[in-house]
Amino acid sequence: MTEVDELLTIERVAVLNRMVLFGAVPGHTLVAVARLLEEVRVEPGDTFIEGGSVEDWLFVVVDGRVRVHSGERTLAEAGPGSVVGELAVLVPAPRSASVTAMEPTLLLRLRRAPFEELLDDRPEIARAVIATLARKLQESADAGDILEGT
Amino acid sequence: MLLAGQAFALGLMMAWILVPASAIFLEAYGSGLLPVTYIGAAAAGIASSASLSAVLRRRTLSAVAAQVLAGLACLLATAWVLLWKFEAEWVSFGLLVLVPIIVPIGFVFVVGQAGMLLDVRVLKATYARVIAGFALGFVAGGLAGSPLLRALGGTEHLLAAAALVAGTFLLLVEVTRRTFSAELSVVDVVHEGAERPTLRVLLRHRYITLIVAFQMLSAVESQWLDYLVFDRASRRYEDSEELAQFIGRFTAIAYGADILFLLLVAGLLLRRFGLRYGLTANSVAVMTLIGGMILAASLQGSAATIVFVLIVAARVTDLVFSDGTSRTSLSAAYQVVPSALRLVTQAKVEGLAVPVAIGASGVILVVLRWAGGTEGILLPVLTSVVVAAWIVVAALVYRGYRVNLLASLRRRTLDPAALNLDGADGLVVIERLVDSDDERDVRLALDVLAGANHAALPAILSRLTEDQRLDLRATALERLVDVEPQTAAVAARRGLTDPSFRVRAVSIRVLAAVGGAADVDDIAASANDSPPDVMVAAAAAITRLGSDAGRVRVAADLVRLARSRAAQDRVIAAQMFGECEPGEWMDRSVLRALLDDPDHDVVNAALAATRWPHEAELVHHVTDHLHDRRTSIAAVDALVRGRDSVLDDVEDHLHGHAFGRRGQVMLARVCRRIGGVSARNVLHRHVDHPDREVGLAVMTALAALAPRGTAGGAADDFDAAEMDQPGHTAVVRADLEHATYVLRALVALDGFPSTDLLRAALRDELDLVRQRLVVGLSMRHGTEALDRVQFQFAQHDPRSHALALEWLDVTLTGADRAVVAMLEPGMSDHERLRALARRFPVAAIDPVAAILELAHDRDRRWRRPWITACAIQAAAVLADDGVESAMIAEIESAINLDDHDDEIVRETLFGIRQRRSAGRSRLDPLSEVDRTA
Repeated sequence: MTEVDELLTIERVAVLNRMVLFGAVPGHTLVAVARLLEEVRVEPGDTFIEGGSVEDWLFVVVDGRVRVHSGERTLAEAGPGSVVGELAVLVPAPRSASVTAMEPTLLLRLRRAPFEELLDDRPEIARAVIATLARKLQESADAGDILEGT
Repeated sequence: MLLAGQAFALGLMMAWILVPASAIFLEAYGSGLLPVTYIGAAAAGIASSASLSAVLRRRTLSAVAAQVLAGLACLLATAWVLLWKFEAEWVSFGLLVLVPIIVPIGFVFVVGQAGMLLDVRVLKATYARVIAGFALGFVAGGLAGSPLLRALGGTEHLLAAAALVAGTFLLLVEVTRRTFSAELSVVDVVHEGAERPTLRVLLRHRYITLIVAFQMLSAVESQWLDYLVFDRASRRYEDSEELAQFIGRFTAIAYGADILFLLLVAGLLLRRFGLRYGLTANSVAVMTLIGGMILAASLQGSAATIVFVLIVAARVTDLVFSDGTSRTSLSAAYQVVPSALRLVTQAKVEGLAVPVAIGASGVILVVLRWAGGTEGILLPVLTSVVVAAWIVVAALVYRGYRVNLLASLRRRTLDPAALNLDGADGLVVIERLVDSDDERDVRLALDVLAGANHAALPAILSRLTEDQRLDLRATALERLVDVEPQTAAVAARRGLTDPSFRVRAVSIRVLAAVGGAADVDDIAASANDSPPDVMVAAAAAITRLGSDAGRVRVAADLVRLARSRAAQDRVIAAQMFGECEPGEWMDRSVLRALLDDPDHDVVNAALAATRWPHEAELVHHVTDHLHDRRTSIAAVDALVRGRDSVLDDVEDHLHGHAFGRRGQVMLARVCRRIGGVSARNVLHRHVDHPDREVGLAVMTALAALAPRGTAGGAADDFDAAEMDQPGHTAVVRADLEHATYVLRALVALDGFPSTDLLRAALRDELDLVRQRLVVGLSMRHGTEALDRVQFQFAQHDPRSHALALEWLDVTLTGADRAVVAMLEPGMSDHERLRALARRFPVAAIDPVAAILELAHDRDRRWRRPWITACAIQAAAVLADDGVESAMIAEIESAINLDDHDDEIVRETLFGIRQRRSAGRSRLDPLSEVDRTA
């Protein structure tokens, strides 16, 4: 796993813009988040997330393909745009599965500490993230209601 | 269609009741007794209204309609049998009395169902077609009457046909009920203990009173115009055949015009000109014709042909506009009556007020005939007076509609229950709260007593100053000093030796406020080796109560602490500055150093210590702290304490971009919190700030300073016209125009590859414009109204959307009306652009031209570096993809990096140049997004 610097800030915003967590944050505000991202290059066979480890960062797959697995059992495969451990930047928890690169892969990593500092400094980002989480919660609750109704 | 079918059945039935009833009645009793049937209608109306209102409170509208129609069918069948078998001509009197009752009650059923099934906007748009069904049914009944009479052989047999139509009407109501069972199952439940909605209760609602007046005046006017037509026609055409011919032509023209108007233009006009037109068009048009008629009668005599033509024209106009505008508008007006009263109101108005008005018009006609006849201009003049009153009432109904529409948008709020402390029971509750282990309960009890200014409060507070709960002792002491200062002073002297430092600090502060010089030594002793809060309180007390020597000692301590290397000491120094009595003994220049301290806690304490006008020369040191989130709140508080004295500096910083967005947004907040005329004037001058986000903050501050509601409640110094300045109108207009350009770019880029980020940036811009428009309208129409509109738009219910849109429709005028296109949910970009382009015409643009315009921003329209950067990125990606390779080259050559001080534009362009020169490309990560992820 090597740290690289290939993407412009605007390209990192393009990545963040597609993430559900930042869906309600305006692009020009995401510039500040984009500047916190670290670019990580992994080679085929590199396991960059170990199941059970407690980490407080998320990865976005920019280029390449990864395998999500529990032991040898493949749970899913993911490519560009996929986010791994999205909520870890808000609530760290043990990883539920391992993730291994299947081909040369470029990842973006967002760590919790600088992100929290940014949330302190830019309350508009925190507001937008809260709005997104609240909407997801409402959708889940609505779905639950429907199921209960049936 | 079902409602139109019901209306058609109603029209058909009425034609087949009216024709035989009139013919038999006139043949048997003559026209002189016609006004008596009007009076009979009033009596029947009162009876039917009472029973209808009562039954509507218990059963659904559909069930009531079914019962009434079944009864009517039986009644008509019985009348037919009586006339056919027993030649009972008196039955025709009963039928003529029923005619003015059946029509409005029939409409209560149709309109009531329409109100439950359609939202207010759909109702306005389609209701004319439903009403056209009635007119069509009436004409069809008239046309089919002759062949039917020939086939059946007797006038009375039309009643049998009418009975069958009543049965068909019943069938249609039943089909409608089954098709829309959920919507039509509502009953006007009156809750136990609630006021029973009698006519007297309803008339306490001003809006309902106005509706009643509107309908009564309309009914009297229609009745008298009808009478004038037939009275003058019977004088003009003495021959019965000529008279019949005239009536035939008149009916054909009136109902033909009615149907054409309803089907072709009524809905269109109502949508275009709104409810104000709908409620007033009829009365104004009729007034014009009656005015002309009175003038012509004065010049040429009442028998002149022109007078007769104008009477007929007035009646035809009245009929056409009644069906096409008044009835539809009134049905919309009913929709903002509180839902619990709506159907009962309709039943009372249509079933009681209208018949009473018809009866009154009949009584007046009888009196006029008895007093000297109705052939002169007296009746037209009386009619003009009624119409004039009708115009005034229509305008008032429209105003009431706007107010009630806003009330309909209101979400439910809980009414706070008042706590009665007069009785012993109330005090028992308070005592229990005071004794609670939870300090929040104690605070609640003290708040309630303080709110009621209760006599028991000082005794309870005094008792709590000796309570075992430490925090409560301090709280009680803090409160006691406001209600009984001397008792508080005694308790505070006791508190100087309290083990709790908080109680000691509060005791010192209480003594500083209400104690004397004799307390200084004890205060100084209690502060030795105490925590900072006690030290600060003691220093402040000594500077207030002590000698000059004591103040000099405090000043020396203050300077020593301010120069300390420990940040905590410097914080204490700043707190002392804030609390000590200002005076020459104090070197306030020390505060400047504390304001420039590198530690944020020290700066915040120093900001809290600033006093105005003492620190007037430090205002720039204060405003500098607006940029940092860690100090901005304290800086805002400090500036707010400066009130109007800081506004000149605030305004200087609000100009242009130099002070920065964050700082300027905070300055807008400062103005909002200062309030008053001067602060508002500063804000007024910056609503068109070149940075749209700062402008939004300025407008938000102004909107917050406007009165909450739209109907009064303004501050004493507030002039309602203040928020309606030409500058504000220009800002809303400029935002709408900007929105048109944003939408044009979005439409141009729709489906164009590799422009996701640019389109997202444009959508962010559109959201910003939308927020600005809402706030811009809030400034003029009140934040409460716009809050409600937004709340309704946020619901997933089309009826809520319709109510919100209706409020915007009847409130906004001129260019503001275009805002609807920006706020209405569910519209596509294309639809919004089409709607806005009508007012702000823009030429269509292709995607490449759109990207170039956004990248260059030659007109300074966009003023958004982020959009510029996104346009550059989109052009670069398109070049890499080989779609548009010339575009990025053009942008690169046209944009001079030295002209751009924004980091994101510089970084994007620089990075792209480097990559292009190195022959590399990676500009659109995730262009092949894994859809399976």
